[in-house]
Amino acid sequence: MSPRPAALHLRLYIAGDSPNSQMAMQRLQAFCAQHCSVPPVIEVIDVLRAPAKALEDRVVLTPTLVRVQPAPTRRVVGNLAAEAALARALDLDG
Amino acid sequence: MADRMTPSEDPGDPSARIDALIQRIRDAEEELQQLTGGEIDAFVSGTGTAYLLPNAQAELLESRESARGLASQLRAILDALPAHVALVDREGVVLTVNQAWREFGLANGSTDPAFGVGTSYFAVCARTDDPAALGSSEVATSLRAVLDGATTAVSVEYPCDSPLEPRWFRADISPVLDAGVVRGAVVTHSNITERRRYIAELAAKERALRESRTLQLTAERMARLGGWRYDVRDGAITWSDEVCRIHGVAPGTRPSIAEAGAFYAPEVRDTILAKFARCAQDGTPFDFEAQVVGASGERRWVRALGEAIRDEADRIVAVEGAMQDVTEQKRLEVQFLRAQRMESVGTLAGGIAHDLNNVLTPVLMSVDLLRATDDAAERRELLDGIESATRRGADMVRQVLTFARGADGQRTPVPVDRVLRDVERLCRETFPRNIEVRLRVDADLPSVIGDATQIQQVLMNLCVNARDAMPDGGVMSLTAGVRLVDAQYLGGNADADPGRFLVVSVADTGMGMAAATLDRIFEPFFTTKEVGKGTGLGLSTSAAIVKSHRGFIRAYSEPKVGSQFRVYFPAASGSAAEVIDTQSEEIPRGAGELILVVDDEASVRDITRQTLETFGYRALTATDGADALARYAERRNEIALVLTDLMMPVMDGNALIEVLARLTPGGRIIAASGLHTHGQVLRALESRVQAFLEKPYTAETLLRTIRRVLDG
Repeated sequence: MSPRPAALHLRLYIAGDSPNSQMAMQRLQAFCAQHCSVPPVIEVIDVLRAPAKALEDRVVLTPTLVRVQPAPTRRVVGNLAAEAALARALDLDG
Repeated sequence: MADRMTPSEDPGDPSARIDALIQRIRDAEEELQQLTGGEIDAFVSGTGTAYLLPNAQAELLESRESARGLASQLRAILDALPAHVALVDREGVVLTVNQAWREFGLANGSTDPAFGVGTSYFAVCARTDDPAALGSSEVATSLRAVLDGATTAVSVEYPCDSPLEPRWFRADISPVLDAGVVRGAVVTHSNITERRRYIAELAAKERALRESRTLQLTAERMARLGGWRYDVRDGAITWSDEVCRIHGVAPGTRPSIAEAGAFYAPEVRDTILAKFARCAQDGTPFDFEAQVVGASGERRWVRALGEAIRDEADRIVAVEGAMQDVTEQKRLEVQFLRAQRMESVGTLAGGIAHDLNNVLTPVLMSVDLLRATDDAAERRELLDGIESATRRGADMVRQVLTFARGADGQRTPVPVDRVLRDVERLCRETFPRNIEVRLRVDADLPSVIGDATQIQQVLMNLCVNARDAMPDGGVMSLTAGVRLVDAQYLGGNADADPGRFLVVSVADTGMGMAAATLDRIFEPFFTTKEVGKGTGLGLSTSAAIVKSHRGFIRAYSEPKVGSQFRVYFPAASGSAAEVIDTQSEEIPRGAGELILVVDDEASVRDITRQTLETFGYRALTATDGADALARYAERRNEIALVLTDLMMPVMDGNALIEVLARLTPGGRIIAASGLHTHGQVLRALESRVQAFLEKPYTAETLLRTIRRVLDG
């Protein structure tokens, strides 16, 4: 019996409905649906509405995906077009 | 780039410095784009301000505009819906309503300028005087259930009468879900009055149909009358419940055509199937009485009628008809026929008494003589005389009894000449001596399939009438012969079929009848005789009997000259159709000549026109003299010949012929008449018409006469 995987908690910073942000959101959802056995908790934060929250997480560029749990914190900047980078960041590369 | 770097020579110029700063921002954005491969939309500065990059800005603007466009499109759709739609939130507060909702509010005198927007729908429902509070309590309950997530979607129908008319509405309440959580609901009210009315009408129609069907079934059962249908395309036969009962099978039975045919009594089966096949083939309707043998072996009399049903293309698709159990009527009919014969015997009673007297008088006288003489030879002679007179009397009584008691309903080959001779003898013996009875019978007469007693009854009735028409004496001529009868001759008479007929004629030299009397003589209870002398049933009974033999009666009469009755019975043997066909090849044809046919009898007009057109003529028809003149005036130069009946209303044939002769002296005219050809009227016309046709006439006679007149 393999140990139960720790709950995955992600935070995606986007800028409104702008194109790269939309792309990142769609790709993240598609990736999780395909690869995650347990649906992760995903917080979506719009920097245009909550820039302070971005500062707290030291996010400068949008879109940025932050892995909050499990530690350590990891981040991927960009529209998540590179699936390998995403898999690595989420520890799901097998 | 270098140009933009130096918009002005003066470094202290603020506008030049601003330009330079903007340029630096642009350069920074561009560098950022290059560094991140264009995957970045915004960056957050250390002061907590998010800056959108220009590409993202443009896209965002566009998407906001399209969202605005979408919203207005949704609004337009919502407003275009005929139903009244409201969107309520989780608490039941109305968020928005559509145009139909607002209009309904206005039409029903709402005083709320917001039409409920911003207030709780439950509060609206509680104010039943508010027009928005449609179907209040039920809708409120349903809305609560939907908002609480207790149910998914609800429809409620409720009455909502306007002051002018009864109305019905339906409320549909659907939850608005977000990630499975109820966030509000859409409440839709639709006016379903029309639909409710339609459904109610449909139900009423169905009920009426059911009632009428029940009524029909009751009527069928009571009248012992049912309906049937034969589908020509698939051969299926449908019998109504009563038809099933008549055949002694369970209601709902669907027999095959062979099974249905097998129910008819064997002696009539072939004839009936032929009629049926003919109707299905060329649409000839039928109406006959026959016996069926039910499933239990019991014989019943039925009357069956049928006619062809055609589709839009005039093709025969079915034969439909009615069938009635007439067994009871038949039984009464037999009783009636017997009663009428007794009546007939009654009218002979005087003659019979006289005749019996004639027989008994010599007997009585002989008895006296026997007492007076002892001579053996003389006594033997007297005894022989008594014996022969008594035999004659007994024979007479037997004849009368046979006639009065005769059995009805037996169909056998009847030698009509022998029946006629019996009738002649009875008449000769019982009629007054001043009436001379003559008999002429053609050789080799065919027999008739029928009921001997009934045929004798018909002839007896006619003879009694002839006797009564000659109170001062005269001649009664009985003749019998054979004649071919075609459709033309029948003149649309549907009770008989063309073919070879045996014709018995009873003619007298009595007082005759006026045309008005002649028209009515076959009506029951019509009589010209004094009270007590006749019941007026003789001729109507005779006509009924002859009709049941598929024959017909024709009457001719002229006042002061006499009357003649001809009875036509179908001959038992010989295929008349063949005979007529071979003859028709020799019948002269027309060459498109236009013939004006004038007759007040539609059936005669139609059959004559049909005959003429079949044989190469064109025909024009008129219903009376006046009509004929109008048509003649229109096409005077075209009309080659006028064929006119003499007896017509409005303007009779005589008057027409007078006028025609004046219009076109020497014009070709043929006069048709049912009167005796020796009538005075005809003699007066002789100079103006080329030929007379005695009605009824056959197609052959008609065509030959026309040809002769046209060629002459």
